[in-house]
Order: sequence, then C-alpha cells, then structure tokens
Amino acid sequence: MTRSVGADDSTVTDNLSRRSFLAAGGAGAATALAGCSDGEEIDAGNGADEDTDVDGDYLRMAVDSVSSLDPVIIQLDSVGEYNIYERLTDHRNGQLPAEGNLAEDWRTEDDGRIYEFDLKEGVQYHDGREMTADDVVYAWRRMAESPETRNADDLLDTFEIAHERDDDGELVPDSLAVEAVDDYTVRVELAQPFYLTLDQLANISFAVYPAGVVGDIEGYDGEMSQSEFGTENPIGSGPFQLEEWEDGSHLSIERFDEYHGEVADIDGVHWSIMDDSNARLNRALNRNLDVFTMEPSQFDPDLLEIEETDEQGREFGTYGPLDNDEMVQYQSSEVLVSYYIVFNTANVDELAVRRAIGHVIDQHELAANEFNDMYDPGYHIVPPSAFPGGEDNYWEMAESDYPYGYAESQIDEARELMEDAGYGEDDMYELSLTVYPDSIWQDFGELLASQARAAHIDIDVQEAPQSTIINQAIEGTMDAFTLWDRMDYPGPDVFHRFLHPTPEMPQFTRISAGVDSEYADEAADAWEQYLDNRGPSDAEEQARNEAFERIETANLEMVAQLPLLHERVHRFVYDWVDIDMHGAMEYQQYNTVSIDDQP
Amino acid sequence: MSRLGYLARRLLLAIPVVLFGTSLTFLIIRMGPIDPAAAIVGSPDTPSAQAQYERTREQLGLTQPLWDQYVEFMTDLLLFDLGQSWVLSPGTNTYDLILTYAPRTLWLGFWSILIAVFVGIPLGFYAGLNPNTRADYLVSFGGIVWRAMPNFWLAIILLALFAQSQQYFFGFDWSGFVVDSEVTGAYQFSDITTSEGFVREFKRVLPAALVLGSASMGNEMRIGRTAVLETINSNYVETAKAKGLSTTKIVWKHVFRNALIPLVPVITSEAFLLIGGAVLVEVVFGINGLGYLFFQAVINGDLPLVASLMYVFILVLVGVNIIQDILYTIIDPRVGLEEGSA
Repeated sequence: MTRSVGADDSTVTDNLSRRSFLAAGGAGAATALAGCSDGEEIDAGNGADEDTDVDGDYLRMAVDSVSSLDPVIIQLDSVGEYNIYERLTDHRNGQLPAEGNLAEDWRTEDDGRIYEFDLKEGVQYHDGREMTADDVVYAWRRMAESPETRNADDLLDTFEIAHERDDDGELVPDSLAVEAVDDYTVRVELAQPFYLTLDQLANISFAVYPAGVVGDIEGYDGEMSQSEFGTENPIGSGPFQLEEWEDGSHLSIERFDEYHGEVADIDGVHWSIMDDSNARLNRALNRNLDVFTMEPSQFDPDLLEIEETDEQGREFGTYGPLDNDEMVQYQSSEVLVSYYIVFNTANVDELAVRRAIGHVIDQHELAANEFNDMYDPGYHIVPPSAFPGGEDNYWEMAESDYPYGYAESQIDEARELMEDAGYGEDDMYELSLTVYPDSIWQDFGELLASQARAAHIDIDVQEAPQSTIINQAIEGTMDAFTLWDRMDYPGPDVFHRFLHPTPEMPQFTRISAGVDSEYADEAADAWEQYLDNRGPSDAEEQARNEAFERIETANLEMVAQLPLLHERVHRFVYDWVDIDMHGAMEYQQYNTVSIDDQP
Repeated sequence: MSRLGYLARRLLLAIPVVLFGTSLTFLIIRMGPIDPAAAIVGSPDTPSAQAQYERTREQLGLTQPLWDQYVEFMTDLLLFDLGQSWVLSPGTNTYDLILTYAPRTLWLGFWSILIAVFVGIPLGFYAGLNPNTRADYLVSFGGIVWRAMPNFWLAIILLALFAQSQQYFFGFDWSGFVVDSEVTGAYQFSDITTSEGFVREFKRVLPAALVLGSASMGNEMRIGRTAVLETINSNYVETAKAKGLSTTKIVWKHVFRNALIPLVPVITSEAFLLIGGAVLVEVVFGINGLGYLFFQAVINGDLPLVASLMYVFILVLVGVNIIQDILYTIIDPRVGLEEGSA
C-alpha cells in the first residue's frame, strides 16, 4: 500500500512547510485506512492482531529491555509499570513532591513514626475486584517476605517499617507493622521517623494489587504462579493494563476503561524492545516511534532550539530537521542520577592524588565535549533537584565553594599539589581507573590520563561492564572507577550513606581507610546529625539540610567520590503527539497523552 | 558398514564432545569474573542488601562445594532441566526464552544461507564455466568486495539505506513497498502462513540476511568458481567430451555434482558462523534473537541462561557436523563409511 506520496515529495522539496507535510502524511494515512476493505486495521484493542504495525492510537516508544512485571522484582520504571500499578502516593507526572494517589488522606502520630492512610474507595483492579486495605498489607508483605523479592531493602533499610526478627535474624512472617484497621484504613508503624516517607511509598515496589494473587507468602494460597503474575497477568489499578508482552520483541498496554481517575484518551502504549540505540533511532526516523531518545553521539546540539525552561528546570523546544527532514518537539528534564569517580581510598590513600585529579577534571568541558551537553556538569554528589536548599543553592555552592576549579581544568594547581607531596616526572604516582566499556567513557579516561600525566600521575585506564565492576568493587581490587547511581527517593541520604567511614563494612563504595580522620570524623559526625533528625519538623529539616551540606563539603575535601555529571533525560516527540515531560522522578502516566493523525 | 551403522558411530562419538563442551562451559562461567548474586541483587552496599546478597548466594547454590555444583549442573543439562533465568527475565524458564528467541535467529539464518547459496553458487559456477571473460572478472571482483565488507559496517549502512530509503533512493519507500513493513525489530510469526505475513517478514529479514550472508556469498562464489575450473579440466570431463556428450549433460551431471563437494563444508560451516556472527546483526537490526540473548545473558551474569544456550549451541554444532558427514557420503560415495578405508 502506498501511503506517502506527500512524504516523498517533501524530501525533494525541502521548503514544503512542516504543517502541510504533516497534513499530507495524515491524509495519506487516512487513505491507507480507507483502502483496507476488511476494516481490520481499525480494530485496535482486541489484541488479536499481532502485526508489528500498531493500529489505533497507540503511543509508540522503544525500550532496551524488560525483565519482569512483578513489583517485588521491578526496580525501575522502564515500560510504564507505573501505568499498570499504583501506590498510596505518587509523583504526579514524575514531579516532586509526592501526592496522595490511592491514599486520599493521611495522619501522622508519634512525631512521624506512625502513618494512618485513608484509602480511596471504589478503586477497581484490572480484574474487576475492588481495592481494600488488606491488599496493601498483602502487597507490602510480599515485598518483604516473598522468596522472589529483590526489593525487601525498600522497606527494611533506611526507610524501615517496624518488624520482628527471629534468633537467626530472619524476618518473622506477618510481623511487618502494616495493619488494615478497616477496609479503607491502613496503619503503618515505622522503626524510626523518616522524612521522605511519602516519596518512598511512591516507589513502584510499594504497588498495591489484589491480596492473594500469588501464594508465595504465608497465609495465602495464591491464584497463579509468581511467573505468570510477573510475565503474563499483572493485575493493578492503573490507567492501563498489560495487553501483550513478547520477550525481546514488544510489550503493549491497553487503556483500562474502569480506571478510577482520568481514563486515557489513547488506546494504549506500545514499546518495541530493542537494545541498540542505532536501531531505535532508525525506527524513529522511519516514523515507527512517536517519542524517542538519542545517545550523545547521535545528538547534534546545533539542531536544538530551546524555547522555554520552567521552574523545575525542564526544557522545551524544537529539534531538527532530522535525517528524515522532520522537525520534532524537544523536552528534557534533570533526573536523580549522578556520575562520579569512586576512589578506593584504601588503595589510593594519597590525598594529594585524589585532589589533583579533581583539579585536572573540568566537569563543564566533560559535559559539553564528551556528552554533547546532554548531561549536566556535576560539582556535588547529590543532583540539584534533591540538593539541600534546592537547585539555586546547589549552583551557588558549586560556583563559590568547589575547591578544584569550577568550569575549568587546573593542571598547574594539580602539578603543584603533587610536587608538594613529593612526586615528580621521574616519580609518578600510579593508579588504575576502571571505566564503563563505552567509547565516551574511554575517551574521558584517555583524556584524563593524558592531562594527569602533566601532574605526575600515571593513570592506567581499564574498562569493565557494570556487573563486573560491582564484583571487583566488593573485592576491593580497583583503585578508582566510574559509577553512576540513581536515587529511589529525592533524599541526599541515598548517596550520603556511603560518604562516611564504615570500617565494619570494608567494601564497595564505602570509605574504609586512607582518609584523614579530620574529614572522616566530620562526615561521620554530620551523618549522625542526619540520623538524629529524620522527623518531619522544620527544626529537624534544618538540622538535616545542614548535615547534608557538611557531608558534601567533607566529601569534596577528602575526595572519596569525585562528582562528574548529572543525567538529563532528553525526549524527542513527533508533532502529532501531545505529551507532557516527566519530572525528576523519571516516570509518568500516559492517560493524559493525546495523539492526532499518527502516520 | 551400513550408512545406519556409520550414523550410530558418529552419534556415539559425539557424546564425549558434548560432555567436554558442557564441562568447559561450567568451568568458564563458575571461574569467571561475573558474580551472579551481585548481578541479581545489584550493589550489596546496605546491610539488608548485603543480607540478601548472602541469601541469594545460598539460594543459587553458590555456597556448595564446586564438585556438587558440577554434578548438579551436568545432570540438569543432560535431563534438559534448563532451569530459570536469574537476571534477564527472572522467573521465566530458559526453555521458554529459547523457544521465543530461537525462531528469529532461525528465520534470519535460513534466509542468509539460502540467499548466499542461491546467489553465490550460480554466479561462481557461471564464472567458472566462462573463465577470464568480462563476466568472470565482474563476478570475481564482486565476490571479493562482498567478502571484504565487514558485517558491522555493512549492517549499519544497510539499515540506514533501508530505513531511510526515501532519502537515498529518490523517494522509493521501502517500508511501504508491496506490504507495509518495518525495517527494525523482532520478527512476527503469528501470521507467517498468510501471503501478506510471509512477504512482510521476508522484506524484514532481507537486509539482515544480506549482511549475514554477504561473506559466505563471496566465499561460495570464489570456491564455486575454483571448483568448477578444477573439475572442468579433469580427465573424466575430457573423456565425457570425447564421448560426445552434450555440454548441458557434462555440466549438470559431471561438473556440477563434483564441484559441490568442496562447497559442502563451506555451507555447513556457515551454520557455525551464523550462531556467532548473528549477534552483531541481531543487535544492529534490533532482531533480538538467540545470539543477542546469549550476549545479554553473558554480560548480565545470567548464568543458567548462558549455560543452557551454550548447551544448545554445542548440540547444534555437533548435529550440524554429523549432518555434514552424512551429506558427504551422499554426494561423494567415495567418502568411505568403513573405518580406515578413506
């Protein structure tokens, strides 16, 4: 079927306006539909049509991989898990702060140690059942007790719900202090107050689903196996339900008409599962994706025009023309991901070396040259939107207090520092830096190595994928390595818990030895200050923020982790789609998306 | 010895090969740098994550003596109890995963062999029958060029050409040609029996199959040409000519069949290449077949999946080898069935 006479013309005549081109493409698509005599093309939602062409108004995107749809396993939103499952609270459109969702209202007692949630009534699951408080108890118990769980630390660690342990230290089944007071009231008792409880509860692992669907915890027989729940039949209360998931091919969700909130306008969302960024981009250029992303190597900053930046730092504009001559909408948002160099301070115990490397690196240049400005330069470990005192305070502190050169490379200072420490051209300090096996990071490593040479540091750049980096980090065999980490909730403590000495856990990213006690004590003391002030009051918040600033400063002094970058998500959206950009939490529900004349 | 006895002997000999291969697999993945527990839990950097890390190690049986692990590993594999994926798709049987991913690779492999065979061999034979003509030079040169283009490069170029055909071919829209099809993505076999589904999937496999088959196509062209040249100058062809046989008969009955002999190992060895070489092409075209699954399993430390796939690959390789030996005996009866008779 030939649909794109208009499209063909537009490639020849560049001056044809985008609008008229779109109109031509749209008309072509309409003819194509009309030309289909059997009418199958229009039938979208019944799932019988497994054609790769997505029919009906499906938002089409791509994702690199999907592992499971069971909330006790899911760790990140990749394919709209947040559209299938809902939690008591929610970051509306991925924006801070958290708001009530399945919980309409809540009260706290005992200085924020006890929460009582009033659940929304009449919330229907995808299988027709109605949500009650028992479901919350069941779902959270599974998170702690299921043999399949990978998310137990979400409620038993920094954020800790009170529970009992037996003599072997194992969690006692059904001892989690989550109680269904009545059908629509849930009472949660924390081990100690936690200032971001509502944010933490918005995490996908706290998803609520019907009690007893999987019988992998005591007291429930189960209606299906964990494997079936996680791959074929996830049941939630979100605006979309799973339609089809074929491993390594595609996953689609379809509109849930009985949704308790705003019922979606579009018929569903379709993700092509492909790992290679080049394949994804080509698919997008082929107009088979509506919303897509790019790698820094594929992105050309010259084609970008930013028209608006909102108060959350989200950017909106246009990008193009693409290789297919289309102009697309551009949107970007900072997300809570930081990249940094972790020093194994036990191996690299010379402070001058760690500081000298800080002097050599110019974060601005790294972001601009290697990442085409797709990432933001980082001068603290905690990203701006979670930084104490907010984004403004982040940049103010960075500009005035960053000790190793804000937006500049200070090779002379680095050399001086090393010479003062007794190193010279004939007596270089040797260390190895392990980077991700990615050309950008290799370039970064090579550049750093060549610059550091002038400061009498001999860096041997090695590469290792994330899975072996973790292993080597545990064994403590590396001197320094690049690492990225993402915050589950927008609290500096997610990253700061690694920035004070923990000699009893001498592994991974923790500071063990080789740090001057002056800074180590300061960081440890500040961490104590945070631990003592985790409650909801203003005084505690102030003390907490002060502690976070102290930890950031101590870290920069001792250079245990050297901040490099903060990630931004950039999205490119064809003009026929109307979609809002998500916020720092990096997820959103697609029930407010609309699509107009998709080709 | 009968052909059946020959087959039985071949099969028997395959057993130690399979055992050796799987044992080696076990050693490599258990001794390698990948810690599957870390791959599952992520970074064990908090107390509860640390506890979970220890628990996971125990659950996975990594705390047992290596010898016990080995015995369990081997018996499971031999009984085709392939276990579940740990990391890539937790809770899914590796058997199901293989069944989902394998058809894509088979479809790609099938066409890349077929296209190579049906283009490469005839061209090579044609060149061999008309040596040192302009056509021969053209074919030979083409063969070298095809052979020389690296797959990763060719794949990216073909992907760009086919995906954005309107820019490069004066508005010719490959995606909309005959039936609507996408260039990238996994193949869909649900409606492969309908003519539209078949044409669509053929269109989709074509660029990838061209890439994967490119090297073999060049090989087959070159070897086919040489083989024909050799046969055509041999004594029995002279004899046939002297007897006054027609050229068609000489070519089809004497030259063609004998020239096929050196091509058999070339074609079967492509089956091996496809397993290893498909990874690249699968990734570039987003096909997500077995090769891609294997690669992902390895870099993510999904050891049960790695082991199962290795086992399947070993079985396939041994199987193809046996088929190759049998084909030999059919094409060339001189290849002896008896021990020591060849």
